[in-house]
Amino acid sequence: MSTATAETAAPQAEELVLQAQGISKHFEGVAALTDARLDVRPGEIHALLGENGAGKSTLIKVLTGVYRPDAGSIASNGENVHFAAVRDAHHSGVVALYQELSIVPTISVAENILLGERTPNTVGLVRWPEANREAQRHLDRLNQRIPVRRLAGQLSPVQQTMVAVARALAADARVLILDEPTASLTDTEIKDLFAVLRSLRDEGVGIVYVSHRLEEVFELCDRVTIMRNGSTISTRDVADITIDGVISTMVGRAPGELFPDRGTATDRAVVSVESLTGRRVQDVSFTAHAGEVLGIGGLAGSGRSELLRLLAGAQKATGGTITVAGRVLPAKGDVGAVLNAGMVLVPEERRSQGVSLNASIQDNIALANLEKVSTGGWVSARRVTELARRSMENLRIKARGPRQHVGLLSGGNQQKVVLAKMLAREPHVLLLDEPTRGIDVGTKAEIYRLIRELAAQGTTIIAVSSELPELIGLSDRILIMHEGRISGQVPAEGADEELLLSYCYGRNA
Amino acid sequence: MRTRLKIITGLAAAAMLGLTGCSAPGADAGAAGSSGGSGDDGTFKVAAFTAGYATPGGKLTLDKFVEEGKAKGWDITLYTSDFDYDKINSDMQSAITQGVDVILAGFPDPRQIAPLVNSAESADIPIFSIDGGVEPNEDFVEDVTFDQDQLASLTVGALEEAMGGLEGKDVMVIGHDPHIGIMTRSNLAYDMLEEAGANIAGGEMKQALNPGTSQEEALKFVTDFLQANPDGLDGVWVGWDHAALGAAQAIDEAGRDDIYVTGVDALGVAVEEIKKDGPFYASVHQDWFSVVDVVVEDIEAYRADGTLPEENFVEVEGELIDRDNAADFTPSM
Amino acid sequence: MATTETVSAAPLPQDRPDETREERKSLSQMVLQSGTIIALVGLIVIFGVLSPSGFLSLGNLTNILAQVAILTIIAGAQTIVMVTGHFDLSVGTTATLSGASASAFMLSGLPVPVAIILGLLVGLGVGMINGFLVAFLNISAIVATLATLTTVGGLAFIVTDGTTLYGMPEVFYWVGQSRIAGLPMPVVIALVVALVIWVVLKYTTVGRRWYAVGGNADVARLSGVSVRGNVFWAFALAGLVSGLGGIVLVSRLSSASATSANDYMMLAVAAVFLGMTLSNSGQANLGGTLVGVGIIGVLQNGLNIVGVNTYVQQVLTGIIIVAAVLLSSFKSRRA
Repeated sequence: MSTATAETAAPQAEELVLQAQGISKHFEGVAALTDARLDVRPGEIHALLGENGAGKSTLIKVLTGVYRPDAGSIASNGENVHFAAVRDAHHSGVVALYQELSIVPTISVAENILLGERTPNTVGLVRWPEANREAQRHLDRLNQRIPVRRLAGQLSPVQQTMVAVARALAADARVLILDEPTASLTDTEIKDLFAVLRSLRDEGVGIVYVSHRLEEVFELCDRVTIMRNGSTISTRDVADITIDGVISTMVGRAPGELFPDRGTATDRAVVSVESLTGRRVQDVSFTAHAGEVLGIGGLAGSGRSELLRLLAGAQKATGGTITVAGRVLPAKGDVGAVLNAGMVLVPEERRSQGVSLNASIQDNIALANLEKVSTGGWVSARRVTELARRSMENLRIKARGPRQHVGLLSGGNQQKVVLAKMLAREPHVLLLDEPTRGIDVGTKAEIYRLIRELAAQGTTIIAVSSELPELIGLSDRILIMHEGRISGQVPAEGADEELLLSYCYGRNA
Repeated sequence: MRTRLKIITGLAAAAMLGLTGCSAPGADAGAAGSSGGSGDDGTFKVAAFTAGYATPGGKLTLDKFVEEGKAKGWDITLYTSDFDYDKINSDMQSAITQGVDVILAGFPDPRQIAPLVNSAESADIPIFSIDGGVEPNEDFVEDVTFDQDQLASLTVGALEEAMGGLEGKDVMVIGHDPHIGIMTRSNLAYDMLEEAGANIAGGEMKQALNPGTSQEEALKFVTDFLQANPDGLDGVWVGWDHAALGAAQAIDEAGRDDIYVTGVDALGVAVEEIKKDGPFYASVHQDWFSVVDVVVEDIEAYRADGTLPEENFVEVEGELIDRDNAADFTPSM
Repeated sequence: MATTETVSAAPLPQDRPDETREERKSLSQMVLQSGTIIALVGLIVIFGVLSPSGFLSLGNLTNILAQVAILTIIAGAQTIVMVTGHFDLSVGTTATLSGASASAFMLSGLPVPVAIILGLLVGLGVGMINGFLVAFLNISAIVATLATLTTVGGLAFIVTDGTTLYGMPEVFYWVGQSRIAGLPMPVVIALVVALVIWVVLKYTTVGRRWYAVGGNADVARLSGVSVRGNVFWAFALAGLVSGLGGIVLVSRLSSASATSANDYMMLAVAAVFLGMTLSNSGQANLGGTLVGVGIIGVLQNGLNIVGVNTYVQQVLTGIIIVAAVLLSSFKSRRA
């Protein structure tokens, strides 16, 4: 596969409004970035692309002073800069807008635009008329008619984004970084935003544009930089590549032999879902069988996690039915009924939903299985420890003993405790949301083996993952979701990653 | 970075704790002067407690007791709380487990110390008490206290003198039921006033919520009452000086000189007010130091040969402080 | 698939002009928001009817103002902290300690102004410790200020030796007991403090940054606002203002006990919560806090005048707090 091919002709450093080279960043020993590069010219819109976890967000945070890089250099207009805080980046004209964190809802539009030391004042007293006029001036540059005294929280999503862009203008941004700005916008609103971005580009602002929507990238951007596994793979002119070329560069090589053999699936249907509809999920139907690992993929926001939550009863369905082992589950979202049907969810947010870090391994397991360790309301300490010991043996949890606090375990072992909690219920159906997020490769392989062992015992596994190689290697069958619907369904054996990614982007190739 | 900051701050806090620990009077300082008592290691161990250490009287009295006991060579440990009897009970139970010879209860609420009384009883440890209620109590081998009846009649008498009689007069009564002494004398005074034909202003006794903030509470009670009933008040009987000060201030601020207040305790600040010939008319001095002397003597007798006091309830009398003798009186609190 | 087309015959909600929709929304919001003011007016009417001569007199109005003066100051301090999205449980004990310290300094012979300044510095110091714990050590405000509440409360016992300090120089009582143009001095001080806090919160860059931090600390940080610094100074200022409240109280009472102002914390929190229901954004604001203080003051004074006993007063105050929180949560769900 072509990776670092024909880079665009490197311009002189002083022509670049921002140049980052050899950036690396580790979090508690885990590499998030290794040799990341990005250069931004004045007056261009530069797309930054990569799969989930490729390191785009980390790179943005390094570029804007939120994180300090372990190694590498950042230069602005040919001069080396070191950003110790967001403010330093602002002083150099580097400003980022984040999708979820664009505005402060409880203060006025004008205050949002002038946030961060830019409010006109006399010895600390704000000169309101002048402040409002100045905010208005920045909105005028964007051709926006937004009342500057209104509370920002009362604006529509696109107006909020515009306010955030106006704030960047107020900060004299020469590099504007946008992270998924169109995620919650309608088509018309996206057009408005693009018009604004193009006019800023024509004024000489360098714009970095992060998006999962490749069509947008090809419509809007001048160049693309593609990242994979924390490194920058290539930077090209948009005119020189195709969407398929971008996808294959993002995916990279096939993964090694992490995955156990398949072949445990049977024909006995255990879970059947008919026209299931709920928040972010539209008319989804599928069947999962005993001994089968059914993988569900899709981009962030495609509805894959919501589907799992619907199945688990953690969210209310507005239409359709879920049948587990012949029993129809209530639509109103009844976690208890789901558990009684023998279906359990291992959530994605391990730290907040799956496990209590301040409690011991045995307490974590026992609390989810109190009926197994108690008689008539009295908890037996002996049975608590026994249950934990058994689980630890089965799952090979590495710990000093059942009394060790979960917070002291590695991420992989924490994930095993979550699994142990759920497996102690001896479920027929196991719902897994991102079963290996934040886990090192060695433990990943172990968890894959465990999942397959469970399938061999007849358990039905439905696993959501944002990592395509994981879906392909682990599953028997893969469903891909796009905007709440199933956009593709393929057998996992020999599945083509590029095909899956096209499904992810809703391109029915 | 932040971790280091946290560690440094944590260490600084610990160091400060250490320093305060060193400079505070050590609880075991008296252990050196041991003499042949009944303790295991030859030291006569006394565990004293009070939940009223936050009140001026409680602190002075217990401090005096500790001082006198140490002079006699006892090993005294003082356990205190701010009206938190849970803490007192558990502190005392662990003290009993570790072995003490005598327990001194300072201003205990007999309703709230059953756990420690039971522990002491099963360990066969006598409890001496200062102001442990208003009637004889089998929990204590000795309880020395003031005669609440006498305190009430002294103050009601003073109010009668100030107002020129009780019959038909409007008198506000301010009490605080959680304190057993104040509750007892307030109810006695209430009955005496009613019997003598006085009207209780507002129809019932006013209750202060918190002794610590009672001055401000009483100030508001009286100000608001005068606001609504300018002609409806001739006197205010208050169960303790702190609140009485607030009542007197309210009368001053309303510009009235025909309403009188009495309190109990004879705090220094109250005596100053009495000297001014203003609305604060009288208070009662309870000589807690003489009570301490009695108790210390009896404990010393017990240490010598195990003699227990003959009477388990000793009532002493208070001294009225009013305009006549305020000038000659030196307050202890 | 195509069958759904027929449904669109009904007028779509988007057809309605934007402006009318917002006005309708703000009208229903206004009713909810003014609920707190309606409660205040309602209380005044009820007590006015029950005791026309006692409650509704000019003298009693001044009396109520005097009674809420110190609460106003301490609730003002609490407002500052709550604007930044935090909480200060130690405002009451900080006031007690400042008042007691100032008294102790006076009794030790220091000139009155010096003693007052030292007392204020004690309050500032406690506030700075709170700010340091919350902003720089990331301890949750509830835990940090609960700890200082305890420690500072203990220090107040040490400073007063558990007794009541009295006999400060007569000039000191000017702070709490004199009158200007018929208004008690504490009322004048409270008005000045309220005015200053109002101006700081509404018209200064610092105040506006506090609101930004309280609205969304992450956005503020990503926009280049120093969140830590701003939170720190908010706590510090709150400590200073609480200290002033304590000193005025001590002067008003001519005496300093070890717990004199402790109970103000609960009432201050209640007042700020009541006030939060009065703002569009649901944030703490000084105008609202004053209305909250008014409700508490009128409630206590009115119940005293009508002759309701203090235990029942406690119960009613608690119910009012719950009602306020419910009201504000109802509104934020709507918004």
